[in-house]
Amino acid sequence: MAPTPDRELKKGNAELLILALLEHQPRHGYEIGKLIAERSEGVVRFHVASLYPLLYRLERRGWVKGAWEPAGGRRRRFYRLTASGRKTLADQRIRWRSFSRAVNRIVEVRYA
Amino acid sequence: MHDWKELVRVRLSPLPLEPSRREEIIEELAQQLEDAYSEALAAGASDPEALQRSLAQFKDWEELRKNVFHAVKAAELPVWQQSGILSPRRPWVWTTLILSLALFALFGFRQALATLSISLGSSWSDRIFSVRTLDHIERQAILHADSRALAFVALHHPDINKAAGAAEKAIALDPHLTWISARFAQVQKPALDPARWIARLKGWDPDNAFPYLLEADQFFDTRSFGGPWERHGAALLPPRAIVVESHFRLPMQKAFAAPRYDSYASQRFDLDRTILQQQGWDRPDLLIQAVGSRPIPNLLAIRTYAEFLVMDVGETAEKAGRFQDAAEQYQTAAQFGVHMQQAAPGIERLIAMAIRQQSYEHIIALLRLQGRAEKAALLEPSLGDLHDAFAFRAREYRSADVSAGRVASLLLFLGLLVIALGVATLAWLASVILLRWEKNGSGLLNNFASVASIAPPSLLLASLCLYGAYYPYIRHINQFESGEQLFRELLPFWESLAGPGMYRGFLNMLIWPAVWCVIIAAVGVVTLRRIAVRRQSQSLNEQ
Repeated sequence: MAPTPDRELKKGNAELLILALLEHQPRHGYEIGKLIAERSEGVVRFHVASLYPLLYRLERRGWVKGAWEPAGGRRRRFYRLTASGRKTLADQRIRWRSFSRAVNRIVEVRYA
Repeated sequence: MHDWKELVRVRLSPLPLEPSRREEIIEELAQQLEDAYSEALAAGASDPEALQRSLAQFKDWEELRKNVFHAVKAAELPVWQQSGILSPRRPWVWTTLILSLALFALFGFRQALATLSISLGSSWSDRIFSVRTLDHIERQAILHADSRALAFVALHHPDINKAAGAAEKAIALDPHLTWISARFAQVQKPALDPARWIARLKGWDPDNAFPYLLEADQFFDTRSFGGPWERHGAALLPPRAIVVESHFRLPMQKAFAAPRYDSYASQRFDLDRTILQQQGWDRPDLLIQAVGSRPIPNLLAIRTYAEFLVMDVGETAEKAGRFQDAAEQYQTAAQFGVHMQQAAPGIERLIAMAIRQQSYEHIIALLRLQGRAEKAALLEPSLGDLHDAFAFRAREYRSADVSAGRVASLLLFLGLLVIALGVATLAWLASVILLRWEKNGSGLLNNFASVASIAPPSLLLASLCLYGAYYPYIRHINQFESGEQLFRELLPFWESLAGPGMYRGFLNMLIWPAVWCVIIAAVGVVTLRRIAVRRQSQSLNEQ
């Protein structure tokens, strides 16, 4: 079965979404999943089975760093952006803006 | 209270990471489950419902395990730690392998694989049996005074002098085998004198047209197709001009006057089949090739002489009013056609039918000219039968060719698939064995073993398809009573498989380039992979 456009779009930008959510504060995996669903108003949903491997991959690449910290009476693994991650986020954001502007110029055009 | 960590640990095992990292991952995923469970409870779900909703987040734990390992280690999960349906830990994977091997116990499957040797072999009929094999058969035959085995060597040995030596021994042991002399009648080598063998055959079988035809061929072949005459500057002649030469005409006269025609097809078939069975080669393809290499007289020469009798001598006599002479010429040609048609198989029979047809047309016309319409009417049904037989044969050949061609193409594809998957399965087997003992084997080997794990079940499926496609053609050589039956039932199929030249040549040409492409692709993949790994480590170092 051919993947749906939504799926393809999400797959290509999953890293950007996670890096963006970690830009201003560290977050744990459960929170990241919930935030993506909430902020996208349910349009983008991450399967949990994909979210954690993606976090581990970003960690391996050195873009995020996980650390156990106390939260709500127990310890939780929070992920924060590294310097390299910030640079990557900036690059990916520029690319995304450029791409979305280009797409908008095509799909939003109106002929008089 | 649920033990979430234990729940995750059980489902995620084995996860071959450093213990501390593994425990971190288990704890993190356990928290994900626990959070989802608590949220469901808070939303009013019962305990079982909440548990179900929580666990529903991870539908495929095996997939998660592989993805987690891949994300952490940038490598495939060690193949012996995988639990997927294609994992070597699954008994059914080994069962498919054993079943694939068990297929070799089936005679038909072995025979189907042997067919590939025809299609992918260097060429059909060039050399059916190896010199080594034939030398071995000869040694054994001398040891046991086996005249038939010696005759077999004489018929098939590519070294004509060795073949002649074997023929001498075979005939000395059993003079009834003198017919094998025919093999040497068409040889054009200075070391061997074909005339001596033809004379021997004529002396042994003087009433047979065949040796005389071979004798006439000696002249016809050299004057019409080159050879010693050409080398000595003699001009080549068109076939009809050769007819008047006595070297050709005299033996042809004897051949057409001979009371019978026997090209020793049945003796040849019987001998080849017996020796193939003795040697354990129960393969119709070998029998077809062996029998198909028997010498047949030059059919163009026969047709040319028959036309000379009918259209030159006969028609000239008819025009001159010498009806009796004309009738005799037509009768001679027709009678020869009858003898040849009765005894000869395949294309020889078709030529015989053509000769008969032409002769009957002239005889009928002559009878009508003489006012003997009643006698002409008696012959007309025979002529009609010949027309019908010709048309039937043509239709039979055409339909057999089309269906045989389709099956042959399918078999060829399946055969190539089985070979490719067989090689992949062997490579997979070697890699999983290595990885079993070398648990820290290279990531590349592990990646290959993971990808190639599809090969064993695919091999079984492809092998079963190959067996199924070949099933209608499975035959033991003792099932054939004659060479004609063998050729009628299997020749179109084997010819399609061996290919009309271009098809086979195309495949032959593709083999080595394909091997080179695979080697270059493999080297390319390894090199690119190394470059990627090096860049990645450089990038991490820079950060």
